[in-house]
Amino acid sequence: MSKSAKTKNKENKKAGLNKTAICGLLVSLAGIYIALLVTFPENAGLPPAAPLTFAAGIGMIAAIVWAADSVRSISKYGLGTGVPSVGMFGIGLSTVIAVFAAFLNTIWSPIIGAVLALAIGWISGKLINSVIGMNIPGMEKRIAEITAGSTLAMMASFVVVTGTINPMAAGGYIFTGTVTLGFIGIAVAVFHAYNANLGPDEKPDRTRMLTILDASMLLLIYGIMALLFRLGISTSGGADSGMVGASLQTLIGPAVIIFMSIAFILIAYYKFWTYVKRDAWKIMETGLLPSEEDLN
Amino acid sequence: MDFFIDPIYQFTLLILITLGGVLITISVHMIPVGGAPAAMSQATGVGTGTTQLAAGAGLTGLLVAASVYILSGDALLCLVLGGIGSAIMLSIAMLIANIGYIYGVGIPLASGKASRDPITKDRQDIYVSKGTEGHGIPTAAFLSGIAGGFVGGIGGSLIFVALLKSPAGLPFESMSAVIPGAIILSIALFFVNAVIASYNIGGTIEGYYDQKFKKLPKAVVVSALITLICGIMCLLIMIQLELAYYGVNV
Repeated sequence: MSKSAKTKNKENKKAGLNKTAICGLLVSLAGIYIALLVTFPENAGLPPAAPLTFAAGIGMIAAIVWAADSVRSISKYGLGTGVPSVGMFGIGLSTVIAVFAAFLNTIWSPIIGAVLALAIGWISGKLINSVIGMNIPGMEKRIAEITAGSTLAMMASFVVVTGTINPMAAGGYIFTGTVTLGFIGIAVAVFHAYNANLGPDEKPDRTRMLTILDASMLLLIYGIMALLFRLGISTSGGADSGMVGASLQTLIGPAVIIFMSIAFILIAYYKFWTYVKRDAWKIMETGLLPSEEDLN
Repeated sequence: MDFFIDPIYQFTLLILITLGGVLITISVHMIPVGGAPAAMSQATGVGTGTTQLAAGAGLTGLLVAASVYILSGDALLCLVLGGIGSAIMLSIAMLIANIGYIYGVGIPLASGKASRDPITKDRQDIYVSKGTEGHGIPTAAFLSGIAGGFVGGIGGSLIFVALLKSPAGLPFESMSAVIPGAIILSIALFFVNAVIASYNIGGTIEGYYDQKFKKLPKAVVVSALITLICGIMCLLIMIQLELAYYGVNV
């Protein structure tokens, strides 16, 4: 066994989290908590306006990068079922866990969600590895990480869109079925980068940059959605009809998210294109299509 | 406040959710799925991944089940029609794939795993091109796929109906909040079980006559355990919805 293979094996057996995982976990938790805790006081029966929801957006990107990194580690062994399968497995578990943790309705919900996701992901990885007999080294750890990353991304998306993690206030997001966008969007952001880049010339930094690009595009959609949701909350009739028009406090978060994600998309695209040019052996122009006269 | 949470009722629903997860796992074992080789017509089955195929069929089943539930409110009808919806979706997918294989690629439909088709008793092995593991979707695999779609649709609808029936004290008007919640949770469970089955068969299977079908009990055990854990959480979400409707502070 070569030296690099040995270190890889050791890394898979180690119980702790690596650097990317710790960064992803801490940044996403910090982002969610900054967005949740810095609020304007409650007004007219509305949920408190959270001006700093863009912090949760950054947290979402960090969590997606963490999960995508784990998808890369597990898929390198060859699952036999395609890279998307493990991403869909993670998002399936984490949707249930994220909605459940949000329904606990405490300030500890994100932490409880992350811990539950690590535990349940580890159990399912263990079952798949030992009972079904996949025998992929480090499967338990990787599936736990994918599930936890997706769960944190999901909970961050609740905060981005509605500004709170209280499920009754976020109910307009969860219980209209709009959360389905998060289901497939986060799954694609998690598995797409490695699925698109895989091959003998796959480089970690290129894959990660594509992940950030995917996550930023998802965040842009979330920003637009959050803007519409805030406008809807303020102008709809019923319990909160006291509010007329959207206030600056509620719109500042979505507006920052939209501009921030557009900037992230441009930077990530430019960097990804630089990496592609770096790794490509040669880039050739295909030329224009032949005109009518050339064909005759 | 006239609500009452019956633990035995909820436990029955938990068993039903677990049964639904197991049915989804069984269904994926019966669907002829070929993965990437089948997309190049080098293996028997539809040329896409298990997850995508099962999800396509399962989501159609859920869509049918939800529409039928809104229109009729009948749980049994909802189950059966959900199964039929999935079966129709899957048979259309297989039919169109077969038309593409026969008239587009120009190959006979042949199974690589069985020397004679288990249903029509036709010879298969002489039609298999060299270097491939069969191509297209022959009769036995096609019928197996329809049965698989039916079972999977019933499984998905069973999870959906069980989650929908969990907040039993809610009036029918408030169902507009419960139905999307039940759908998103059942989609999540559907994907989890489809991937477990997919790992068990290693990505490709031809149908019930494939050797890999004998590995089914392992996947059933894993799927039952994971669906049980997720089912508890799903039911707690639904119970909290009911509590919140009646204004209980949770």
